Amino acid sequence: MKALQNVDRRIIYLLVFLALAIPMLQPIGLPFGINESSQKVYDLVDALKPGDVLVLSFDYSPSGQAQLDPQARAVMKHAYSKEGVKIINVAFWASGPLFADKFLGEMEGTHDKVYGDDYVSLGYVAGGETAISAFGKDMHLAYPRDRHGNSIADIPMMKNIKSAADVDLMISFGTGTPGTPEHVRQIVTVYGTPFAVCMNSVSVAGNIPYYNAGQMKGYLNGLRGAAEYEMMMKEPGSATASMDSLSFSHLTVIIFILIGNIAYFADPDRKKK
Amino acid sequence: MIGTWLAAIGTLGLMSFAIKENPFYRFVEHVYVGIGTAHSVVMGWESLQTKAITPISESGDYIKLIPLLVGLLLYARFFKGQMWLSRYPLAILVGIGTGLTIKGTIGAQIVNQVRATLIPFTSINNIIIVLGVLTVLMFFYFTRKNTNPLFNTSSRIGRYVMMIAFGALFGNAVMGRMSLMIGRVQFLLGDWLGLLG
Repeated sequence: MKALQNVDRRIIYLLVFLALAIPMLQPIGLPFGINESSQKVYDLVDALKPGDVLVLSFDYSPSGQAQLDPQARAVMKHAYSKEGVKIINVAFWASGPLFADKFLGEMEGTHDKVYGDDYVSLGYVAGGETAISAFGKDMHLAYPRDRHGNSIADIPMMKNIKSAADVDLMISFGTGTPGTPEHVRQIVTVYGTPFAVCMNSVSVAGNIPYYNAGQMKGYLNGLRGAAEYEMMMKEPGSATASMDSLSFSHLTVIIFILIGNIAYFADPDRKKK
Repeated sequence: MIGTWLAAIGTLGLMSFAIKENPFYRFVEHVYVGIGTAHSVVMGWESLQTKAITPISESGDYIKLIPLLVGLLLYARFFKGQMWLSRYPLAILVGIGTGLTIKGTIGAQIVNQVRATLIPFTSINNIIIVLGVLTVLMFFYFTRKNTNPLFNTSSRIGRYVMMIAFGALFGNAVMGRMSLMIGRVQFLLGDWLGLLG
């Protein structure tokens, strides 16, 4: 039992690595269900009609890429396939525009949206919560120019879009601050804009109260959320492919938690300690 | 191709920390922090350029000189004897930040959250939410020592409710960390080694 209590952490790392890598090389295709919160995000995007305005806010950094990239890729693909929907890409994190640009580049030629008429990239604005508030109040003042240096006043689709009150749905891809609480405080509470979040798993527990209170209409939970979205779109991608790895890695962690607890409670010297 | 190899070497360098701390890991860590900082500076400058410098120089929007100058005062802290000047922009930043946050917090994080807890006992979920909130609040009641058995029982239940919440938090944290690792393993096996179909 003493040996079980002192397993070398490198052995655990190796086993976790194998639990992740082997299912990638030999996929099994374990089934997984669709959570209600993910279904709601899909339904919100799917319900957008021609002329509706969607804001996609990229509020994450490279450290969140593993979970947020597949989510953003799936949601963007869905949103850009919706005819007549006007899309505004913004970022309140300095690295945000990189991701928006990357996905727009990947999707080039796969949709019929025209820059300036159907979608626009406004880039990054510094200031965190203050910037979110300014964006909600007057987009033209917060972003006098788009990411390519064009005056926002000259962009056709922005002529009738002034504030968050003109937005039909806002989706934030976020991993931290500024993120969900800031958007809820400055956009949802003030303008009543329908809001959904695609977030990393660590943030879910902290943000669930906003979902229960109806301030957040739906959310995607990490890689699992991305896989669910891919399945709802009937286009399995990298997130769906990694679900086996995720399940086996969880199993490994659960086994080690059980072993650790058994070793602890079976230790006769436990009470002396 | 070169980018993929650099990213793979960087990934292996950071992963080598799992064995033990080593110079390779430290080198990659410093490169990562350096690149991150450089990128933030560039994006900050771009934001400044599009929001202030270009409107001032091209459109004559001179009113934007005021926030620009107030912002520059932050650097006064580097000059001995002039440090007091940096307190003004700080005071403005803290004031605006506090004002904005308080305004939003009352509605978003107090009124709406309380309203979401005032729900009828029509489902198991609702019962758990209401009792969970009440018992956790009882746990944090420290005003005076209470020997009432009902109070102590609810306080104990509150402790278990929090432990369940922390368990859920930990579970999500594990899922998040595993997802990060999956991203890297997918990159190493797929993009770098080409082993994934």
